[in-house]
Amino acid sequence: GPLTGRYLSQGDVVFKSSVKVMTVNYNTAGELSEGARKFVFFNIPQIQYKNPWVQIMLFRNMTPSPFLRFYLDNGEQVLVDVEDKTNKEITEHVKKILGKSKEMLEKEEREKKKLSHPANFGPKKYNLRECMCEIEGQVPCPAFVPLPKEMRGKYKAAMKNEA
Amino acid sequence: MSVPRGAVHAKWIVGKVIGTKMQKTAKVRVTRLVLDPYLLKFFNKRKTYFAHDPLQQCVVGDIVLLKALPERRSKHVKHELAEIVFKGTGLLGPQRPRGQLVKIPLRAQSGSQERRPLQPPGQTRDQQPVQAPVSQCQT
Repeated sequence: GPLTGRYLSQGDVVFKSSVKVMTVNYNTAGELSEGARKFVFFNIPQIQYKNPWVQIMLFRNMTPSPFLRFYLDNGEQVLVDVEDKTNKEITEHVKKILGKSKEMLEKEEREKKKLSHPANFGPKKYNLRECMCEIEGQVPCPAFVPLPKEMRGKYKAAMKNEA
Repeated sequence: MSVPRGAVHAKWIVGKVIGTKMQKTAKVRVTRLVLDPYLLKFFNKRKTYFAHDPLQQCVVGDIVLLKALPERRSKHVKHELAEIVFKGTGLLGPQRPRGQLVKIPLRAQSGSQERRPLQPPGQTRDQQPVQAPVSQCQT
């Protein structure tokens, strides 16, 4: 259903940065508004999850026919008539006119990846691994498995003094 | 102490006018859908903004598009009215019909039935003991 994190992240409509407000006017009764109702119930959570900074407002039973209205940054307004359309058609249309294309999304992901180097060690927030001891095949962390005698500083210092 | 502030975060907002009692200023309530992290459901979160309305053309209940001003107009006013999307009625809620007060009598006028004279206490009307109704079970 629409209340899972996995469902929310499966949404593929990411708006261009110029879209600021999205307004949905629909009716709670009537065959023609059925697609709009399904769109509001199923797809709007996905859209809002992917675009947390776009203001989405819902208006019920104010106009006889359902429509979507987008307010862009340059003052432009985009009106999308939604009467007699299924919710899939609506999402496809919105994605085509105001969504970021697949190439743009991939490019942004690549840019993001460039910032963090996976081979670095450090805090979990910024890097994948914190210490060499986490990797299999390397010397395990002495907090869990005591080091062999030869590697301990005490032994090494004693050997040096002897020699 | 005025700290140099950058531009306002919200450039364009759509909200509902809740108050117009200030001169040339409208109080606008803006709702945004915010995800509750545990329930994973979107709830409307409200925030009030003040908008500059020079012609005082806003009425309570208008749906209004606000534009961010390039610099703050006063301590709280950072936006101005760009467009009225839907016009409101100006009424705060359902209004009851107002008119002259009409006196309604407590009991309906019944001319056919006459009032029974009050009996003194201790005397039942029919002079018979009251019998509890016995339910007859079919066996």
